[in-house]
Amino acid sequence: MQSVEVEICAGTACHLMGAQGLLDVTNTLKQTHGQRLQVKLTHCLGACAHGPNARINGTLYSRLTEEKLLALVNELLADNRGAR
Amino acid sequence: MKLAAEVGIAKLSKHQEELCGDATCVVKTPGETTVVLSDGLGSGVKANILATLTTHIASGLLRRKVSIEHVMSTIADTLPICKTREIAYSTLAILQLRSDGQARLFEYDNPEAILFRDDKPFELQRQERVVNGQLVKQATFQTQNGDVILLVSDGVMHAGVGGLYDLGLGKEGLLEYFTQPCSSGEYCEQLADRVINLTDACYLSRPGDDCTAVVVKIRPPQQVTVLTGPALDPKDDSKMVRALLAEPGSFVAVCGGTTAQIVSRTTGRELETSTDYVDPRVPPIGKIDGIDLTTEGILTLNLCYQLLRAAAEGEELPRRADGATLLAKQLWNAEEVRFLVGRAQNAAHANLEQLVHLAPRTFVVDRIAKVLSKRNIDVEVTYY
Repeated sequence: MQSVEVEICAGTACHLMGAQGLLDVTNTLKQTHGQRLQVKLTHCLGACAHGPNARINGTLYSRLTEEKLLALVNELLADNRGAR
Repeated sequence: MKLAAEVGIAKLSKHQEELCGDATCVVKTPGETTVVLSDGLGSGVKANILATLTTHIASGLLRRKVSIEHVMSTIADTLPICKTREIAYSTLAILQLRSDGQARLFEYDNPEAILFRDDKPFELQRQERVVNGQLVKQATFQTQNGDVILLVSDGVMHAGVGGLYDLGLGKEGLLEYFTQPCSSGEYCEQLADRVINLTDACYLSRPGDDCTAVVVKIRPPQQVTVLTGPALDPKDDSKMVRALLAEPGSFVAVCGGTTAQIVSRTTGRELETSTDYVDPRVPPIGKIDGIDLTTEGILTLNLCYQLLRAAAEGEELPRRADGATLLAKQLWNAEEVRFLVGRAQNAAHANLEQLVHLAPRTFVVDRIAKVLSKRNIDVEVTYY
């Protein structure tokens, strides 16, 4: 089963730049994709100046918006790049 | 054995009244904690003013180390008497607890306080005396670790009068439902909430009077240790963690994402982050085995300071379980607090701190320490 793991940075800078919004939109996808999508908050990912950040399947993505994150996750779920 | 008192308060205003006509105040002086409960006659603004005035006079005098007998006589002398009902405009109960376990209770027209020992009510020997023409009940007793003392205003005792009960909930009714106060493991405020929820239910959610429950728990003094911020010299990071683990006290908090990672790395224990945004103003709490509370740093400390400052001005701490509130509760109820503060700054935070008017770590710790010191809590701050 191919799955996508999203770790959203919950550090100070990312929180102020909208980490909660990123978590909320990603969680909405969970209703459709269930176990294929794992979402969690994580400690500071060390890219505070470029937040909000998230690590998706081990790759760091910075300056995310809710739309960008949704697009990225949807894309990974749609093709085999999400395979782990 | 040294003892300390933890206090939890819950209130309920009379139906359709915004202000509660009962007032409470907790005064901590070195080696002593004093709890004052006053119930103003009637309800609403007038009762609130009378009760607040009474507690303020009492707490002001107690802070100036005026003897409790003198406080009672001053208030008994000062309180106006209602011409119609010929009773004083407010009632008063003062409970003073010393660190050696000695307790003194003064009650003036208030329902009798109940001492619970091993979950059972323990009979207090009261003496009656007349102070400035007013009858005051007085009890002196020795408390033990685990004792719980419950003070209530008459609104609790009369709950449900003429409705659910002919004569109100009363002491017997209260004892029937307020079970296991010593062994349940609940915080004082949870126990106080339990009494007030029962009262509200008896009134069918239309309270006929203002109601207050004050729960005092006797326990050993609590030492809280807070580790926050990475050290100025990264070589000192592990020194900070070692200092934390060498003398953890009774409660250990780690505040800061990077700080939590340092603790996790040094101890080899995993760091997990909750996804539950209890209060959107601060990131969710984390979890490290052996650490009682793991939170984000600068936002949490700033909100914690705001909560403590409000508490110092008489506001109650919220009932939420976000990191800032959980930390504030522990600090507020502690007898000793030790801060281990790393002074390294995250350059990316500097602009954000200015944008959202946040005090930098060392500033906010200093402010928290000042609020706690004013409450006579011993505070020690070590910088790294």
